[in-house]
This record gives sequence, structure tokens and C-alpha cells, in this order.
Amino acid sequence: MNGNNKIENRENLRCATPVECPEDSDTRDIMVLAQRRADGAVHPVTLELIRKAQELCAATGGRLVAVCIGEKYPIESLKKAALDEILWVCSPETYYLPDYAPVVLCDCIRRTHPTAVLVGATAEGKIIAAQTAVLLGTGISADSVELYLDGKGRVVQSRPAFNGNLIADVMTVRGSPQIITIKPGVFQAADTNCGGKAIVSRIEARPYSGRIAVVNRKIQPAEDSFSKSNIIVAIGQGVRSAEDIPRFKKFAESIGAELGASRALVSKGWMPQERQIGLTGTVVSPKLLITLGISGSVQFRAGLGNIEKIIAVNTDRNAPIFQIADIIVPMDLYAVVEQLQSNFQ
Amino acid sequence: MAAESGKCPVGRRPEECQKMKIIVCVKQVPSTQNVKIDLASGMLIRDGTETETNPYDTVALDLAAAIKKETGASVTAITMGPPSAVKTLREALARGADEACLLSDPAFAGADVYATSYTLFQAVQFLGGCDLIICGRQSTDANTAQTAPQLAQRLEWPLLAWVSKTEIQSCGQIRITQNLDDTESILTCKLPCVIMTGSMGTAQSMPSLRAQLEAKRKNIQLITLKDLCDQDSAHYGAKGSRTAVVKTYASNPHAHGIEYDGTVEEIADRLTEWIAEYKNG
Repeated sequence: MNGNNKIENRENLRCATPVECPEDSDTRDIMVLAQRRADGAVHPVTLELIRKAQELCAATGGRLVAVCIGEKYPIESLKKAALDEILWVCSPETYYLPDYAPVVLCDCIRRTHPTAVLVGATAEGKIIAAQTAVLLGTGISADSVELYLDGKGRVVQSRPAFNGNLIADVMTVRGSPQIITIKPGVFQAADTNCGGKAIVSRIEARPYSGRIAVVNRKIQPAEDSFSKSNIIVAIGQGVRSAEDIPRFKKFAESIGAELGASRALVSKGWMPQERQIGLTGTVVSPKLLITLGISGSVQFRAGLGNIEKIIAVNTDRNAPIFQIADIIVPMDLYAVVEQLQSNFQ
Repeated sequence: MAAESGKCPVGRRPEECQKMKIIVCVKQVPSTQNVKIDLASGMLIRDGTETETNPYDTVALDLAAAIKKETGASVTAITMGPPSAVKTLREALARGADEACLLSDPAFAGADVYATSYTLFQAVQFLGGCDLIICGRQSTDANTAQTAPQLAQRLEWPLLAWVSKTEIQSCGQIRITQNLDDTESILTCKLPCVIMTGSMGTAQSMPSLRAQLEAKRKNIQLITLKDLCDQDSAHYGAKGSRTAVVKTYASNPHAHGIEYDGTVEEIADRLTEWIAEYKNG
């Protein structure tokens, strides 16, 4: 591109005003964007959103509609979950999805007028949901941890707010539908033995009109060993030095656990981002979680999925983590880890 | 780090690249864990709270500075916030921005992501557009990761999100590495576009004292509602927002845990039993 083009682009900026709010939709239908993993399989978060949408639809009598994008979408495996309709956009797999999906999701929304659209808050999902909201002139909420119906049958979204022990219930008050994103691992997955009745409506794909070219794309197997581990040891601000990290790694290994951390240690650069548990990190669902020197902010707790037992070690008796822990150990984490380490040698 | 091979193509003089203009969107966020909330409105009480530049925006500023170094681009930092947000703009200037603009007006207050992205969109137009916008992946107070995608959509510019490496290939094209949850992609697109940073390694150290002093002497431009193309206040702030907080409440689940006491040896023995149970199945 040359300089002239550049100037032309600047001049092309319009003084656009926002999209006018559309009327509130008449339906109580819930739409789920059925996302996929990089290997093409149905993304686990899709089944989790379907399960929650089933609950909401059962209460309102609305229909549950899933949107699948891609000509190779494994429709049959999605059909195993109880859905009313599947809108299947049969687009070439080569399209760059984050740029293509917002436009076609809008097509599907305009066709069915759902009251709410649920999107998994994966890296891709966050972008798709945010851009869809602008295209429709409607609101979006992020990373809800619970959904419920208000007196009028509208979906209310609960999410942890700021730091502190606070939950905010949020709704779209202007525009429709409500766009809602939910992190993977927050809800339980839908049953896949009771479906098969969904109507599949094939939708002709519009061509990709975006400007992003994919030069190369390679699958990096997700680090399942962490988020699917049976036991997770999570370390936080109680850890005094970066040099202590190896001893916690060793401890985690000796009890067959994976090591995770709160944001405090990740932002210090002591632990990698992929190991962060919480609102800005991963949601984990180990059977046993051992927290060491973690206070347990709402942000951290947003990263706790279905966990059977929590053992919390912290010197601060008022740490919020003790409110959700099953076993409370108000002691120095170094002393406890040293003793445990000797037990497992 | 980034933009290491962002050289001008053979045969083009570097001057031609110097026209490139970058805007970096930054945000001032509370730095403490104990933020106060107005329970009636559900809004953040910003007065009297320690603040810092959103750490992810520091990554965005460092990327802009790296591209500037390679291509001679100009960098403008913008932030929307109260007048006290100039502190964050001073840091942006110290980190290599040439100019800084504060978007501040009572009409902008209480904005959700929808109204925020609209205000930034208007500001980009007020500034005469640019070739590249860089945003941090998310803020540490709201954590939505939605502002950059919405700004890109409003401009109808391509969004390159979760970017770990960039390369300005010629003055008009950018090539990036993108890391999504389970894929790594190389993408190219023509400028202008919006970049949302991903994991780019740790942020660089604090700017030098000299850079900080120089930043203090620079002028910061104030942009208010009356500067913008669309001056209808109903499109901004709480009025222009699409979402509202309907209720806030404490999330203190009742403690149900059992407290272990005794010597550290006794406690460790009891914990060992639990761990062994889960370890073996």
C-alpha cells in the first residue's frame, strides 16, 4: 500500500452515529454460538452453554437454537444434545473465523430474534461476541458466572465486579438481544444422550469480505494437563521470592499435582500466564485444590470450577479463601509445604 | 522483541515510512485490591484510590515504541478518564509516545464497553485517523477484552487480536503472530488495522528518570465532547451505554470449612491422608 491509500483511508472515516436500538425481541429463544476446538471437534464450552440454555428455556418455554459455522462442523455430535434448532452456516473452513463469524452470527440473530446469545469466552469467542454487539447496536457482558431469569423472563447475568467481595448483576437495557460471554468450565456440560431431534437448517454462507489473510495456522494442543488435572497446587502472594518457585513445582510433582498461580505471581513474571487461575486466567476443576498463600479475591474465585475439596493454607485468618475452603490451615505455607514434602519422599 | 525486521523494502527511502501514525489506547486502573464501589450505582469510586497504568497497556506502549524505533512512526497515546488520568499519559510519554490526549468530559462518565468504544472511535476521527491502533489485551479492573474488538468494528478496520509478534513488512502491510487458545497463526493485513496485544513477554522496566522528566514538560491535549464530530451527549457515558448494573451484592459464602490446628507435623499428617486419597484416584 502506498501513502495515497493511507490518506484516503483516513478521509474515509465517517462521522457515524451509533446504531439505533432495535425493539426488544418478542421471542424467549436462547441462541448458543457452537464453537469448535482447533482440531474441529465441538468445543467443551459449547455443551456447557447448551446445558445452561436448556435450563433457561425450560423455564420460559423459549426455543434453544445453536449456530454452527463451517462446512465441516461435526453436526451429528452436536445433535446428541437436546436442541430445538441448529442453524448451520456452511462456509469454507479456510475463512478467518474471528473476522467472519460476527457478520454471520448477526444474520442468524436477525433470522430468529433470540432474547439472548451465549458465547464461550475463549480468545476467539470474546472478539466475536464484542463485534457482534456493535454490529447489532446492543449490549454485551463479559465472563458471567451465573445466569438467571428476572420477573419478565429476561436473562440476568451475574459477574464478579472489580476487586472485593462483590457480585454485579448486569443486563442489556438498550438493544437486543443480550450478548453474554461465559468462560469455559463454569457450567456443567449438557447430556449428549437425549438429543437427536433438532431441526438442522442449512444456511448459505456469505463470502468472506474481510481483509485479513491467514499465511499459516498450526494447532497447538491445549495444555490439558493443567486444566484437567486431578490435583492442583495454587500459589499466591504468600510466596516470598521467584527463587522459591522450583520448590513448589517439586512439591506439586511429588503429590501428582499441577502447579497454578494467582494473578499476583503471573504479573510479577514468576509464573507463566497459562498457569494463571482466575477471571483473567483459566477456570480449573480439579478434584482437590491446595491453595498456598492465596487470599482468594473474587477474581481468583472466578477461576474455580467444580472442585470437590479445597485445602487453604494462609497466615491471614481473615483471608476470603477460608470462606470457601473445606480445610482451613492458618499457618505459614513454607512450614506446611516442607513437612508435606518430607511425607511424600 | 517486536518489529525487529520492520525494515522498509529495498528501494524505498526510510522517510516514506515516517508518515506512519500509531495511536495507543491506554487506561488508568486502580492499583490496590481494595477498590470501593458505590453500591447504589454499582460504579467504581475512583476518588482516593491508588492508580496505575493498566499493566497490559504498558505492553501496548512498548510495542508502539518498538515499531517507532524501527519505522520512525509517530505515537499518540489516548485515554478516557477523569483529569487525574494525565498521570497515565505522562507514563505513556515517558515510554515513548510523542503526543498524549486526555478524553475527559462529564458526559463520558459511566460508560460501558459499548459507549467507551464509541468515544474512542470519535476520538480517533478527531485526531485525523491513523495507520495503526494498539490496545492492551484487557484492563485489570473490568477485564472484558472487548474494547479493542469493538473499536475495530466501529472503524470497520481489521482486528488482529492476541498478537505475540509483529512485523511491519512495508509501510503498508503488517504481519503478526497470533496465539489463540489452541492455535498459532501467522496473519497479514493491510494497514490501517487495530492490534490487541496478547502475551508478549514481560513488560519492560520503568522508563528512565530523564524520560520521565521530559514527559512532564510535554503538553497533554484535552479532548471534550464539543471537540468531537458527534456531539450528542446521549451517545456517550452512562446514557450511551447498552448495559446497566441492576444489582450489586456481597459474595460472601458462609464459611463451612474445618480449621486444622495442632503442630505443623500433625497438620501435615492429616493433610497427607487427604492428598493420598486424591493422588491414588
